[in-house]
Amino acid sequence: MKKTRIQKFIIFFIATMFTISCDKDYLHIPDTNSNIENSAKALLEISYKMTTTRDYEIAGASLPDLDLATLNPSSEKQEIKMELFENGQLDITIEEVDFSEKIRNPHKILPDDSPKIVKTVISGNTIKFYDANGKILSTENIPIPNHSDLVKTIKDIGSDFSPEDINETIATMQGHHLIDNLEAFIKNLEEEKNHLQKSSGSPITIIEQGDNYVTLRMPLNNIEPAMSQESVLLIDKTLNKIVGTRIYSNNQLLQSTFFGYNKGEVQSLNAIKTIQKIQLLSGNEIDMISYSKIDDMEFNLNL
Amino acid sequence: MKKTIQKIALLITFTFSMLNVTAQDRNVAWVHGLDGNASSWQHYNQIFDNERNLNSLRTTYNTENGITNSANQVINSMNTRYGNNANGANNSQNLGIGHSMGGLMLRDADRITANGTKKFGGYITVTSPNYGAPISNSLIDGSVENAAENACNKLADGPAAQLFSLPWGIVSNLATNVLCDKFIDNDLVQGLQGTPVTNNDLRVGSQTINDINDYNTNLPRISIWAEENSPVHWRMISSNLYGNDTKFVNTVNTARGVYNGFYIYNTSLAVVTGVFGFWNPFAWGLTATYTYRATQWKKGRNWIDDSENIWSSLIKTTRSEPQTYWVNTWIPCPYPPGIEQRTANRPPDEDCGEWKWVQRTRYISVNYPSDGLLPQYTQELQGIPFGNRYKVEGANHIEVRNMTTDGNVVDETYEEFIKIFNRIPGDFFRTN
Repeated sequence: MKKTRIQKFIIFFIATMFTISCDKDYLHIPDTNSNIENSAKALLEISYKMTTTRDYEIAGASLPDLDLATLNPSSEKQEIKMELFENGQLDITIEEVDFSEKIRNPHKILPDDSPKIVKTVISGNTIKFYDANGKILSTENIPIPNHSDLVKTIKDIGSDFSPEDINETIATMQGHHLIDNLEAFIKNLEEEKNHLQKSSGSPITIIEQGDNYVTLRMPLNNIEPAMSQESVLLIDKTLNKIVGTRIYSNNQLLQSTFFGYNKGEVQSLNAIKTIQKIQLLSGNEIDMISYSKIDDMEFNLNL
Repeated sequence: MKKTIQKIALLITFTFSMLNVTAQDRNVAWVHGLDGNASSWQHYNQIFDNERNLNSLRTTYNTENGITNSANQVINSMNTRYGNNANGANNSQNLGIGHSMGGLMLRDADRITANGTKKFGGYITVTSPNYGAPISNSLIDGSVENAAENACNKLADGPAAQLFSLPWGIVSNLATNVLCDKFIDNDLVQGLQGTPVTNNDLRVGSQTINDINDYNTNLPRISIWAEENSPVHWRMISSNLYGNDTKFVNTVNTARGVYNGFYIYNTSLAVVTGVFGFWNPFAWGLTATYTYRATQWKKGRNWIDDSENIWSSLIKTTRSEPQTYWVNTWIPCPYPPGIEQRTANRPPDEDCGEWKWVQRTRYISVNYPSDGLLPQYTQELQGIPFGNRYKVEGANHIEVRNMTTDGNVVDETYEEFIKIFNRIPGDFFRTN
């Protein structure tokens, strides 16, 4: 009797292991250090960790329960790797990271026991989701545009500037050439009587200019002809960087974004703050504020 | 001596055979709820007919004309099935088991019948809105429709910013407008909307609900309540759509992953173009564009994350509670005349440009147990002994009628029925 049970267990164990080993989903554990779908060398690689907190400007307001239900604070941390290839394909790997400071709202209900997506891989027009064990959860087709325009922009920079200049700029994240480029850009605008029109887009205009800053209004149809919004860019001429953007639609402010940078030798992006109007269920509006802290940014250009 | 033993044996045999006759004669009415029909209780009816030899009644009631109308149908069906006499429909051993509104129909049947003509000697309410269904109030005041419309807008913003045509197919068989409409486009909510009389009866504070709860009954009663795992709303809708509580949850998780993917995709491009602006400032127009798109996709993703809170608020199983938490904040420095502080005219914050942990305390919305449709507080009947309350864990309002569909090997509702039918000898609910 005992022997039979042991035999059954062994058969069950072998069968189970055989089944698992034959399941391609178990075999295919993605490697975070290399692109799993594309073996070509990337023209551009960027990786960073982003910790984002979402909160709202409630300021003691008494809100209906239904409104309050949409305003719980939250936070998350993600490790992101992006690769752009010569053919314009853009691949992204996103990994969810747990962290001790994460905001955990104390709901009094039974926990979700369904498998969580901890890794997302976008490659070509496919997005794949994996659980903590590397098992694929689902695959979908998504329309990720080809970025050959961005490839061309990068190639143009490669032909206009020396590799040493580019490498130093990338290594320090300091726009050494920005002032020259920006002055030329602004001069171009001024010569065009504050109007510069790119292709079919609306005119780009200088709103205001000082010794240390310039604000530009750039309709987004310069970027995408079908976009009707306008952006206002705030450029810091001391930092040589963009420090803020605002998006308007029909002169109504939709969102403000501010960028912050590390101080010192490597002045890489370390902060994104976004303020956005959110419509509540009651019809009232409230500001959603999102803080994204960027850490460990690596930027590699392989021209 | 031998004769005495034979007599005892005969007596025991006779006694047990009499008990068996009594057990076989026990009439049990399995009453469905608003969304149900005669097959709603089929699973447990068949199991216990085999195990306990019940004399069951299971039929379809028209629930469109209010609770009392439906209760009268239950009374009539009892009279028809068992005969309107003391040994039949009016037998004090008759047991009623009602799911959802079916439980209210049993309670109302108790209220509107006089002693001697009562159809049940006791009853079990299963996930019933004993003190009203708050979702009915939310439907009547338009909150459910507003929530669905708000959801549709938030889910559409990302695809619209990306210039995808709307409605956009997020994942296979799930477009933006379908996901948000699930709030009002599931059979339960549709059933309520389609029957205004019943919907009005079921709302918290309705005259019928008050009348039922104002009635003092002496009948033994049991209430079974169910608590679903998070996300309660998608699980209930999944059971409604697919007969199991996980398929739609997985689909929504995938949809969330797609929104998150586009959010990160656009954020990463904003970061990249922010760097290329060093050489070509025009790239910063792209930075603005990608940042805008990222936040629009994030809106949809956030809605999916918040949707359980929103649904829980619609079914009123939330409480506002103070919560203290830490936020890592970053304060941008003013750029006089910068785009942010131009009109504020305030001195620069000394912490500007630095990350700083800030502790905040404010009210947040906390979700409490429900079966995905009804909060615990309305499912649990008050005024009965604590031991007469049973709980089916991991069940939603739909699947509680057949817990073999949830993928694990345990039939949790069956387990609770077994506990009830095996109560101590002499207990009304003990069923041999």
